[in-house]
Amino acid sequence: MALLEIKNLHASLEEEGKEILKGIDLVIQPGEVHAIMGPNGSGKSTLSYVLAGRDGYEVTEGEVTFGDKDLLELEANERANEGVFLAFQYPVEIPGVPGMTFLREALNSKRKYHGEEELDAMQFLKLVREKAKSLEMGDDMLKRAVNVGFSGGEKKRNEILQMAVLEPTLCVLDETDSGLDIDALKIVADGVNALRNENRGMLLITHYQRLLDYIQPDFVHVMAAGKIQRSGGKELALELEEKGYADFTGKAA
Amino acid sequence: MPNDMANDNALLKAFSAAAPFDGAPDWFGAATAAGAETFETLGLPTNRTEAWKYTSLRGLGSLSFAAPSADAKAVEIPRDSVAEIQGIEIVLVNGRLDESRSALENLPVGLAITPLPQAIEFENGAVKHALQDEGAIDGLPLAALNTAGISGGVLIEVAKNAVIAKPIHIISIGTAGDEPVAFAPRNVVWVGANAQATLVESHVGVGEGSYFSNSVTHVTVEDEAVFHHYKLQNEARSAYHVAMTHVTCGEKVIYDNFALSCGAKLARNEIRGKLDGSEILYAVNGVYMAAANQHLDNTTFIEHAKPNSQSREIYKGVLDENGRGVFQGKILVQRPAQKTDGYQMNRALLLSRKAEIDSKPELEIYADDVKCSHGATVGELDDDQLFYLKARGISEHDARNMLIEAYLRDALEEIRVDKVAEAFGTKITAWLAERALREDAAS
Ligand SMILES: Nc1ncnc2c1ncn2[C@@H]1O[C@H](COP(=O)(O)OP(=O)(O)OP(=O)(O)O)[C@@H](O)[C@H]1O
Ligand SMILES: [Mg+2]
Repeated sequence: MALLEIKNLHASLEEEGKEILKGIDLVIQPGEVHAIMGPNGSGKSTLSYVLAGRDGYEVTEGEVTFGDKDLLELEANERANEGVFLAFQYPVEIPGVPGMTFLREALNSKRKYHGEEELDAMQFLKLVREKAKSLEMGDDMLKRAVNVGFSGGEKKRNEILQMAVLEPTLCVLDETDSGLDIDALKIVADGVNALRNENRGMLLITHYQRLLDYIQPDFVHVMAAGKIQRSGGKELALELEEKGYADFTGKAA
Repeated sequence: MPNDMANDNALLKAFSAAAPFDGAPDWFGAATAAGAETFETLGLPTNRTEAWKYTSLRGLGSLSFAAPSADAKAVEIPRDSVAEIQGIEIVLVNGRLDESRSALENLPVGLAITPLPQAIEFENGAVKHALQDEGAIDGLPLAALNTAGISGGVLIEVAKNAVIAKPIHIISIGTAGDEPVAFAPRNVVWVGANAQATLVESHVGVGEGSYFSNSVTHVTVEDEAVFHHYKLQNEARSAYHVAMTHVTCGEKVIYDNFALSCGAKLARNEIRGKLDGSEILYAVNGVYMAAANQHLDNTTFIEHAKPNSQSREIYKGVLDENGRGVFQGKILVQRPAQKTDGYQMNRALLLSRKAEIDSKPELEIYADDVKCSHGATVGELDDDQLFYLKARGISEHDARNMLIEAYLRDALEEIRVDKVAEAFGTKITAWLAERALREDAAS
């Protein structure tokens, strides 16, 4: 069974009725890493939001199955608890909510959902410290409110920390590499690679071939104008780096 | 309005009947009479009174209140409702001091607590001044009504240079049987020059009966003293609570006030501060949380009379179901009060379409070199934040509660005494837990 199967997905903005996704087809098998590249505004983040269950989009056609579940039927929190994780392009700051309280609540929501026992504060702290260490995040960062006072790169690292703690089966990473310095990119890539296994699928949205040097994808897709225009192996990323998106947008590079 | 007048008279009677001040000096009788006269002239305020535009007490007039009976003293202190503070406790039941449960002796050096009737008998200067001050009742019908029939209270004196580490905690309990009762606590606080102290007030109720607490508190803070003044209004949900606090600050005083309001059917928390010195730091802040059928009013008046002082005012409210909030804040800067720095903000979060907030910020400035700003915001929970939480597996319900708690707890940063901030924090958590139960029951 495929991990994720997207069939002819059309989605519009609920308020304006404007169609953004215009027939996406994509299958991710367990263990596979897929990369999506594409020009600004082509609908990559929209796809990630529709998968994560954000309000404000209307799916007008098509279907999305996650394992044996109809993903579109589930609430955002149910999708997360089923194992879908979205690393946000722009992680949200939540003043007043301590990062650790938030993450413990998230993990325990998932555990509760699966009928497992919740972790107490001590057990949780131990777990987080361990994961944070490999991402080079110190206690001072863990103590702050969710993403508050974090630099752009720190926010991205924090997304990966959450992913490591929640251990999702499908990881959608929306431009997690943007805004990272070279060292941080290496740390984040190591964090992602550590999570790679035969059961887990990944969808990396990126603008830079460089990320794919660190996280080797099995497939690369080019998205433009709300559709996947071409798919290939990782050599496609190199080709795009060279030629740009002109072939897909009808404009000169 | 003959009908209204009949109601006013009934209220006045209920209060006057309660007064336990036999044998008080003549000036006290005169003050009481002046209060009654002022109240009779002004009457119970309705929406037609400008200062009460958003909070009408008409509903109050139609209830027939009796003076509380003396045996009400037997009630237990409702520990779950009062602020959890290790303090020097003063217990008032239906406005009367319960001496057996109040710390009147063996107090820290520099602190004196005297039952109000005694302080009146001894002709204490601060008390005499407070009760005779026309400015304390002029145009203020409820303060006048209080003066007309004071139920009881205390005089708290902090001697010059004294530092009282332990908070003083006034616990005012209201309780009634089938018949509604009305009472009028009056407390006078005098903080000597260069002294430091903390006062916490817990206004709570016992039982389901309806009562009306109409309190007045006078606070005088002498030069260079530091006074922290915090209030928890957690009255029974059938209660009416109207409170007036008169504050006067001398040179270089630090006064910080924080009011957390979550109880009562209708409550008005009014603070009038006179900044009668330079380099004063004056703060009045608060949080209000209203659920079904609750009406919570915060009204503040700040008068800058001398140059170079600062006032800060931040209120945050959460209004659920058909809860109503009112915020009225006025800053008056007198001509000599150059270099005044005043800031005032009311933020309200509406959790339901039926909830309502009325904000009325006002500046009246006669000095030309001042920095004053004011504002009011009304909002709902942030969609991006909600989605972020939900995308991590947290249910809509829990996500909303987390955001509301964060929003409210943020206001507690204004409280300068950590232990009190903590104690008030638990009230916020309790309110949210109650809200969660209501939601679960509704779904
Ligand atoms: N809430 C919205 N209101 C209006 N337009 C929107 C909204 N959300 C998305 N769009 C539009 O939909 C299109 C796709 O946006 P999306 O964010 O998915 O692009 P993207 O491929 O992620 O771009 P980038 O590479 O810049 O991140 C854009 O034209 C964008 O302006
Ligand atoms: Mg994007």
